Amino acid sequence: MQNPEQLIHFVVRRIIEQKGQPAPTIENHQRLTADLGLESLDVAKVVAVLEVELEVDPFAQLVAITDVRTVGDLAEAYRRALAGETAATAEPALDASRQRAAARRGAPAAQDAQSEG
Amino acid sequence: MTDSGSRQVVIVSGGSRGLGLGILRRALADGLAVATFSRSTSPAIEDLRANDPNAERFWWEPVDGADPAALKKFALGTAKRFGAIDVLVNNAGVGLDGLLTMTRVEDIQRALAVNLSAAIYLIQSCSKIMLTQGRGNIISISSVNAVRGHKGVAVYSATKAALDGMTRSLAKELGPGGIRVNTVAPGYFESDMVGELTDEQKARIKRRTPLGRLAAIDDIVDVVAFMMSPQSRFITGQTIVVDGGITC
Repeated sequence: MQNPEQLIHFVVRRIIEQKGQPAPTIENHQRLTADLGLESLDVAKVVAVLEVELEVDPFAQLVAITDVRTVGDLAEAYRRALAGETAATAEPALDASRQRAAARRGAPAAQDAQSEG
Repeated sequence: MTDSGSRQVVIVSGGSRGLGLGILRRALADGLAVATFSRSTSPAIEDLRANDPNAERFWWEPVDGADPAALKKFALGTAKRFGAIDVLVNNAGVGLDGLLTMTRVEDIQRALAVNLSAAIYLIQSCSKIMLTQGRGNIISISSVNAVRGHKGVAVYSATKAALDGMTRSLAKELGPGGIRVNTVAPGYFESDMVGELTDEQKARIKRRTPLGRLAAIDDIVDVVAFMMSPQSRFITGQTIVVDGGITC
């Protein structure tokens, strides 16, 4: 059984091979675009395969895909999602702000602060 | 996921009646496996379930199109059950008639949720599966109301025109992943949605239609079946208008 980081390396390598490019050994410091030549749709494929395999999607709410530059960033996003982090727990300040805004409107903030379990 | 072999798998949203039912019946007749959902079942759905008690080629679930989490669960469940998602037909929709100034907010929100948001969420979930497969085909049911303006259907027109616009962008976005994206825009056809038209209104539509009649559901189903088939393999980013010429 591969750990998530090994799986991420395997999937990244497979997507590079599917593009007909020689795939190097995948390491966390490598930049997805500049070093590995992945385009945005290739990264989308990686994320789609990982969602099927790991049954989590960190990019639905927890992490902005634009914050992911390297293989290590990708691995960290999945580590956080698999550890059960949610947008609410990851962003307590933002959550508190939402609560205050909802209180000003006189409405509960449950929907605004909704998180993915 | 299990291996779907060479069998094609299609999701048809809103398949309990009308055009959706016609599309899924044609898909079943053409040998595809079909997964569909609607808010509630119908006699036709129950007949199809009875004919396939082990759900080998036909699966239905009660899902409200306004519930994004339920839509995602349905898409992933279909991929696991049938092994793939080859085609998505975004058919579910609600009509909304009346002048905008007198339309209730909750009716506007419902139309946006079912006609547009549900299609976006379904495409998002299904296109992920399709990207992993390296192939896919997305067809959304639009309307002539997206092509020409008509009094009393502003919100409905907005949702359908939005589907057309999204389709053109997605065709460029997903084409390199082997996924085609198109809409089919029916004219007025005999269905529950035109059931509220008066005989006078129907006669006016016929007079303005070069081919001289309202469409039958099969007129639309034939085109959707073509778009589902490999015969349309080089078409993407298009709106195929099926209206007897009323918009020409």
